[in-house]
Order: sequence, then structure tokens, then C-alpha cells
Amino acid sequence: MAEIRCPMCSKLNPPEAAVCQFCQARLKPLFVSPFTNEGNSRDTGKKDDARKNQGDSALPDWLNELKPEDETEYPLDEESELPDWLSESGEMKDEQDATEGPEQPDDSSGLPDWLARIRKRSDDDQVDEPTKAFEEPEAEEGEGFEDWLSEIGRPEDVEKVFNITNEESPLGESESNESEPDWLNRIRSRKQEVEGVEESTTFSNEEEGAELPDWISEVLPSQSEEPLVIEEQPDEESSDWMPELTTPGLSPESNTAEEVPDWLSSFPSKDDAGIEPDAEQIPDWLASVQSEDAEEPTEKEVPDWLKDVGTSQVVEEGQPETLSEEQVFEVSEMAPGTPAWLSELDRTSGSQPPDISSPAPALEDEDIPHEDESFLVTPDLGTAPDWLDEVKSEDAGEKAPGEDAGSEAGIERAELPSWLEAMRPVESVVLSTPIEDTTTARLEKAGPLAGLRGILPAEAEIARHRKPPTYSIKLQVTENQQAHIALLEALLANEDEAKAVPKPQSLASQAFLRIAVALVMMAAVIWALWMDGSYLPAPSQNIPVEVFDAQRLILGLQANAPVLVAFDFEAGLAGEMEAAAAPVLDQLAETNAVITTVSTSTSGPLLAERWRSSYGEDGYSRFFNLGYIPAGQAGLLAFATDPRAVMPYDLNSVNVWDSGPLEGVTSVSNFSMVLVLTDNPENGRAWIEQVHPLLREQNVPLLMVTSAKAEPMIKPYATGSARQVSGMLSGFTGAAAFESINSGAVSSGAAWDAFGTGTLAAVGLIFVGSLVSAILAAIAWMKQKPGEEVI
Amino acid sequence: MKAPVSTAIAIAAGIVVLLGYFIPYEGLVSIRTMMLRWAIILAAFALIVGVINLARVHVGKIKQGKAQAVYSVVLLVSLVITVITASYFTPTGTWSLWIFNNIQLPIEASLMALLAILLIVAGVRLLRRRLNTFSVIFLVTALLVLIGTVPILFVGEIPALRLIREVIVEVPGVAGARGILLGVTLGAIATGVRVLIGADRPYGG
Repeated sequence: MAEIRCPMCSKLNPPEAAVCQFCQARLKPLFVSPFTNEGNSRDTGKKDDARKNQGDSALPDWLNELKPEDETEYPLDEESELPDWLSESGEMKDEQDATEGPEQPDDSSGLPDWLARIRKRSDDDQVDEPTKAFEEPEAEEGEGFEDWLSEIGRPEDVEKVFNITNEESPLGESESNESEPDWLNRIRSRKQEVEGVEESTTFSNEEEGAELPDWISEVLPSQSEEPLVIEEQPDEESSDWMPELTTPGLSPESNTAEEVPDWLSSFPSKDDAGIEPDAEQIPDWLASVQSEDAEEPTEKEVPDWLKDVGTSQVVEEGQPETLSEEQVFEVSEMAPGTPAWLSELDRTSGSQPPDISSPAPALEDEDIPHEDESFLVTPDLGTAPDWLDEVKSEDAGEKAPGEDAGSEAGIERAELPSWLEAMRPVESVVLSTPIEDTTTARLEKAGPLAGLRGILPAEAEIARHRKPPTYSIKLQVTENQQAHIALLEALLANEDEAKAVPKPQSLASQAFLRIAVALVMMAAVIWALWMDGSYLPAPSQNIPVEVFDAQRLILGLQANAPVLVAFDFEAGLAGEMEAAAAPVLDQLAETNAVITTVSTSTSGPLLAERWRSSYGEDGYSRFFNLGYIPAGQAGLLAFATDPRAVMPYDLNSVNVWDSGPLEGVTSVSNFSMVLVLTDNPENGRAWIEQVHPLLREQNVPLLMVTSAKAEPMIKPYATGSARQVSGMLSGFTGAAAFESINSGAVSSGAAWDAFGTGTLAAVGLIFVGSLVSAILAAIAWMKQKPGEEVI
Repeated sequence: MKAPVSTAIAIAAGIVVLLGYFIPYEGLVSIRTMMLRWAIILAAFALIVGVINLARVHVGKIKQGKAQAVYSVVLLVSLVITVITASYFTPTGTWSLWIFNNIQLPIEASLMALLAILLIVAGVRLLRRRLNTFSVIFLVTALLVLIGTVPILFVGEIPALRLIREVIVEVPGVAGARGILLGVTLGAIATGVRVLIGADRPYGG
């Protein structure tokens, strides 16, 4: 055998050494799964392969990490090095087999005396115990699933098991009651009471066994050969991981040495139970225990943790399910991945180890005694120590002799480790709202609630009325606030004072000014008309181009050419417009043009008649006055499109279109020229927009005579590259320029002089008046006091 | 929408007339011309309705016996005389022209003369009321345009003043006028579009 490397100091030790020679650390573990030896593996090669394939995945991580890759390095024939008591623990399975069949040898000879006595008592109990309640089909036995493990993942079954074990112990009174702890005796006594129930319960673990995790099966192999048939319905709510971890038909017997960690493999198997342990390899502490057992093998001297092991073994001998039930309880209380050693530690720490004598039987109603339904109450697993205390208090009056003996032996009551106690689900049992202690509350003395405590005292509240406290109403004002108050009061005081109204400055009478201006203007015009001397020369310089174009186009008209003239100005501006249009119309008359007049103004037809009547008594003979075109621009467009239809008759109700010079005119474009006389820019724009597109198709010129007021608005159409107005005259100035071009002089000299004189008078008045006004305003501004406004 | 029928008719008429401008299709042109004739007839009738309404209002004032009812009497008498004269002697008759030449035209021309006087007075008082830079610029511009319009008495034409006047009228004046025209055109387009889509319903409904 190779030397053993210490797991603590990593130094090599002789193979027979139990403790490290250097650091005194234990070289071999205390607990070994007893079925991990070769003799215990009864699995076939097929099962072994299946188990090996799934073993790694089924094992918990912490166990996988401990598992060596090559387990063949740790041969299993080292049970001889283990202490006998550990070997005994591995023989539990063999002992069970011994109870089942004669072929199993009795290996109890290798046990210590105290363990042998325990086992003997257990055997005696098993004889009295009805074992028919449990069916143990051989077919399922080969599958290797313990019933108690099958209960894992079925909380309801665990509850039943726990109820049963809490209420009744299946064990009859054993001979060891006197030597065992009182709690164990009480549990056993209860088990005896519930045995009647257990007899009718059957178990089947055909399906539930498959849900057992492998690592649990490995840790607890002694129950694997005695599966219980749990007839209850398979738990459909089992965790998903459980079927994955286990393989149907796989028993713990299929565990091979390769799948067992080395420290588990070092434990003896049942086949080696008869081998005497090497005394040299037994640890000192175990040797001392063994020696004490040899001298006085009494139950009183057994340590708690060892007592649990012994108890479970004793129960197993007579009824193998007992140990399974305990482990089921432990496993159900703890996390699924809790190893066995933790469960053992939990049991030894004082938590209630339910003495389960039957493995989670499926109870039927008729099997349950009605007078004893209290066991159906689901215990709170987290309060196991509490109910243990309650049981102890209930049984305080009937102390068992064994308990007295145990207390006399100095066995202290087990206590939960602090860390395990902290893990208890205390919140589930502790009330969220503490119960109020009403012992000191007020006692109702009268009324229907007399004698009750904690009643709301209505009368007391009413009687509690008192005079309200008096508060001072004096305003607490700081210095800063007082300063602001003074400022606000000053502002309000100034508001009341009336401001001095500035005196309105005396102005010259507007009536006088108006009269003076009117007199000056009238004097200038009258003087020009009265003089009739042509004081003002005709404009000869800077004559606009559009005036020349107008003159050229008129002179280019042929005789009897139809010309459309629009009198679109108001009567009030007739003085300016007639003076501006007179030279053009006169020239048209000189060319014998056929003048057809229309108007978009109601005064236009009469103004046209007024012009026509200026030519002698009969007037201008080649003249047609079509009258007024209503509808504004729409009417203008309609007339431009079809003049015959819009204006079929003239003002004398004569059809001018069927005969005469207008016979061939069907559209406005058939006229040789269109002349618009307007003082309104809107009217001029309407003619340009509505009529000019038709005139442009036939290259018919559009001339305009406008007032001086409309000149700026119409002139853009007469200038530039895209001229829509072919020629244009504006006001008196345009007419004078036109006449100047034609004859070099203004025909209406008196009017031109009056226009010039009046314009100059207006300029003079505005200039002088503005100058005086500016001086007066400046003087007033200089005399103006601050805050005064000049009116 | 209170009057969907009238709105639909207005929109359809506007679209047809508008398409007649851009699509030289004889059918569209005919429809457009017909609608324009209807517009002329309706406008003429509206003018007659307006005259009747004017007479009715002033008749009401006369019936109320107010102090200014005399002006209403003058208006109604003038209206009746003119209508009778023009109807009997035709609009181009002698008496019709006499009324126009001796009553209507002098009155309206006098209004224009008063307007000229008022404008001069306003120019004189401008600096007195509002003595600032823009007022001075306004007055100077007006004086330059006026003095450049006509030759100066006893002096004759001053080319420089004439040139200044032309510059003022054709540059800033025309520029401003073009801006106004553009604004008016855009406003007309927007108004037309709003009428076409029914957003504006000047016809009511």
C-alpha cells in the first residue's frame, strides 16, 4: 500500500497510520458509506454502466469535486483499516438481509457489546412489530430505490410521516426504554399507538424511487435493498431535477467504487463486517470509547451523536424502514443537497429527530382512528424544538425512569447550534402583529361590555374637554420687516399726492391755419388762371421713355382703327385725369380712331360722354359708349373674352357689334389699342392682369394714363424687360411731356400754369410751415421741464 | 359646415374658372365664360339691391324724425330725380349730363381740393407734433417730389430737381410699390386657395 498523504500538511505518512505523524490530523475519515466496498456492489454490469454514465451528473457538485477521476487508485479492500463500529455502520444492509433470508450471515459477532445489545433490543422489537404492513416486492427491490427516499419531493407524504411519528411511535415498548432517552421513549410509545394505522398503509416506490437523487442513495445505501411499495399516487409535482438525477431501475447497489469518493470508499462493506478492525488503526478517541463500552456498555454513556447512529441501526435491524424514515425526515427538513453528515449533525444538535417507525404510509381514512385525528395536523417543521419542549412539559408529570437515569448520568440536553438555529423559519410561526397585553388596560365596569378590558372609553373623551389655550396675537416683526413696512407706507403716502399737471402749450388755431393755407392755395391757382400767360414752360428734359412709347404707338394707329378706351376714374379726379388724358384722346381723334369706351366705375360712362361732348355739339361721331361693366375683375375678364356677349348694346341700346367699325371685333384682342384712364392702382392692375394676356397674343398695345397718385404703383408694369404696359402717362406732368413731344408746347397753358403755381404754393407752405413748426417744437422742447409732456 | 351645398358650388366654380386659365379646353373655357356672365348679372343686380337698400335706410331715418333726417331727404330726392332723369332722358341725355357735370363732378372735385388743403396743413403741423428724424425725412421727400414735378415759377425747369424726383419715384417708390404688389398677390393667392378649399366662405354658410 502506498503511503498516505496528509490532507492537512500534505506530508507522506505510513499506510498504517491513522493520524498524521506531523500535524496529528486524521488521515482517514470517520464515516464511510458501508456499501461502497466491492462486496456490497451487487449491481450488474449493465446497471453499473448506466449508473456510471449518470453518476457524475447526478452527484452534487461538492461530491463531484471530492470524487477522484480514477477511483481505482483507492481499492476497496481497506475495510480492515477501519474501526469496527464504522464497519458496523456499513453492515446495516447486511443485517437487514440477515433478517430477510437465512443466507445472510450473522455479522454481529464483530460488533461491540453495547452495539450488540442495542441491536438485540431492536431485534426483539422487530419480532413484536407487525411487519405485514409493508410490502416488499422483490421486483422493485432490484431497482434499488428506498421508499423513504422516494418520499423526498413529496411534501404531503413527508407530512404524513411526520405526523405519524409525532403522534404515535410504531415501536412497541422495548427493553431499552429504561436506558434510552425519554424523548425517544415517548416517540416510540406514540409509534406503538399508531401502528394500527401503519398496518393498513402500503407503500410503493415504483415510480417515486426514480426521483431519488443519487447522492442520497449513495449516502444511505442500507435502505436500498428494502424498498417500500408506496401505493400513493406518484408525485407529479416533484422537482424536475430529481428524475434527471436518478435513473429508473438504478439502485444504490449499482454504485461502483469508481463513483464513490475515496473517503467513502475507505469505509468497510457489509461483507467485511465480520473482519475484526485493526486495533492499531483505530483512532484514539474511538479506542477510548470502545474501551469504555467494553467496560460499561450502557446507554447512558453513549454520546448523543453516537446514540443516534446506534438508534437508527437498532431500528433498522427489526424494521429497516425506520432508519429510512428518519433520514426522510432529515432530508425533508433540510435542503435536498444536504449531505448525510449535516443531517447527522442536525440530529445531534437537539432538533427533534422524529422516531419514525414506518415509512410515510399512505393512510386511508378508514385506517385512521377517528378519536385520534390530531396526528393529521401538520406540524411546523421549523418549530421542532418547540414542540419538543411542549412534549416535555406535557410529560413533565410522568417522567420516565430512563430520563431520570439520563439526567443523572449527566447527559445534557441537546442544543441547536447557533447557525442552525438562525436557519429556522421563525417567521412562519411568529405572529406578525404581537398580541397586545390588555391585562393592564382599563376595565369596563358598566354597560353590556362590563368586565372587558381594552374598551374604547367614549365618556372619557367627552369629559376631557377643557378650555383651549390662549395664544398671544402680538405680531413678531423683525427689524428688516419693519424697514420694509416703513418703505411701503412711504410709497402709499406718495401715491395720494396729486401730480402737477403740465400746462398745455398754446397752439395756433387750426382753423386759422387751414384757412390761411386754403387762401394761399386759392390765390396761387387763381392768379395763374387769371394771368394766362404760360409762365411755366413745358417739360422738355428727362421725359420718361413710356411717354415716348405712348406717343409712338398712337401715331402708329391706322385710320378707323378700333380703340378701346376705359374711363376708370372717379369724377372727383376728373380735373387731373381729363387734363392728363386730353392730349392722348385728342391725338386719337386726330387719327380718326373708332373709340369704344367702357368703364368699371359707375362714373366712367358719364365721364366718357363728357369727353365726347367736348367735340362740338354732336360730339365725336366715331364713338361708342358701352357703359359700365359690373362685377369688377370678373366682369372685366368676361368682357375681354367675349365683349359681344357681355356688353351687347351701348348706352343708347344700340347693337354696335353687328355693323359698323366694330363688326369684326369678337374679342378684346381685335381692338387695335387699349387705352386705360385710371386714377386707381387697383383698377390699373386689374386691366393688366385680366386683359393683357389676351392682348399679348395679338400684340395689341396697352397704354395707360394714370393720376400722379397711381404712378408709383403702375410704373413697374411699364418699365423693365417684361413690359406689360406699352406706354404710360401720369398726371399733368405726363400730359405736358406728351404735348411737349407732339407740339413743343402745352396746349392747356392756363391749367398747366395753375397746376405749377399751386404745386409751388403747396411746397412753400409746407416748407415754411414745417420750419416754423420745427422751431416752435425746439423751443418748447428746450422750455420743457423734466417730467412734463408737450401736448 | 352650415351650408355644404353652397360651399360645394363655390369651390367647384372657382376650380373650373381656375382650370380655364391653364387648360385651353373649349369646354372649360365655355363654362368659365358662362360663369363669368352669371357673375356680371349677379353683380349688376347686387348694385340695384344696394341702391334700394340705401333708399330704405334713409326712409327709415326720415320716419324716425331725427335731426339729421334732412340729409336723408336730400339724398332720397336726388336719387329719385337722377333715376327719373336718366330713365327718361337716357343716361347720355342732356339733362343727365347736366346733372353730372354741374352737381356730381364739382362736388367730388371739391372734396379732392379739400383733401389737398388738409394734406398741406398736416405737412405744416407734422414737425410741431412729432419732431423726429422720420418726420423730417418724410417732409423732405415730399417737398423734393413736388418741386421736381413741375418747373419752378419764373425759373423754369431744374434738371437736378427733375432727376431727384425721378430717382425717388422710380427707385424707392417703385421698390415699395413692387413689394406691396407682391404682398397683394400673395394675399390674393392665399385668399383664393382658402376660398377654394372652403376655409373662407365669404358667401356665408
